[in-house]
Amino acid sequence: MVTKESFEAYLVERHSLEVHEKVSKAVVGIAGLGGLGSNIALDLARIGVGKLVLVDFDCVELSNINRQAYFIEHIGMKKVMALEQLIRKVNPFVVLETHNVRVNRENAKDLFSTVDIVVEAFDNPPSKVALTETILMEGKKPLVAASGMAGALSSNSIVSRKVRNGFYLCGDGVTDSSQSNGLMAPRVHVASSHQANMVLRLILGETEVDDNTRI
Amino acid sequence: MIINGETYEYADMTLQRLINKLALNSEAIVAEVNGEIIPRINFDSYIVDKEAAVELVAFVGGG
Repeated sequence: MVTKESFEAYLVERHSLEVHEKVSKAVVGIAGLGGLGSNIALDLARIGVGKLVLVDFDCVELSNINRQAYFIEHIGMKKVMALEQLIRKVNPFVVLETHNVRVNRENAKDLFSTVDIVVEAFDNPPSKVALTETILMEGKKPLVAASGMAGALSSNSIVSRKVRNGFYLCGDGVTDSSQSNGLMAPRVHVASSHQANMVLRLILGETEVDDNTRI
Repeated sequence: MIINGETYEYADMTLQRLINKLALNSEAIVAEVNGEIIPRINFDSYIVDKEAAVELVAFVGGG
């Protein structure tokens, strides 16, 4: 049995007290719990983020298993519920707020009103645009979005880019999912890890994508 | 006009016309003009000045 005290102590030991204090206070919203969002949520839960706000309207399908965090046994279950089960297996203490709804221009601000950072993890461009526009126009919190991670092209073409203050974009920027370039775990995870690491950098106060300004 | 860091000799035109001219899909675009985000519903009415600095982020599918 892992107690809250021993769990916290292990994170402090692994990450340092200074890092853990910042990470454990952070509240992160994730819009879309597919190949990007499900893996980002697990990464952030593993490192001890304080609270996650998870939003998706979908259920787990067989076609998700090649890249999303879910198991065969989750097929048919709401993604928010399946992901909550998985997260509890790596971090029983993270505060979770789940919403089984479709994010749109009308509800986005309210859904993510309590978070410090918003992650855009949708699959279709109109949803990506709607959330990005809404969060950037509100101008109150950083957004970490993704574009271009299909196929088996080079991992090295996937980058994190700061488009403007408070707007970060991870991916190769061009490779749409298609018949010849399906979405597959390795490259989707390269992109989701870029997003998760950008979130961590923001939590630790680093607002650039490169390390030139970092000690 | 400067679009995504490159200079173009374009006259004033609506944002939608500019997006069409560049053969981009407006449904997948987040547009910033002179540092301001222009929502998609205003693409048809917003006039981009010929001296403007434009940043167009074209999202592709997948996630």
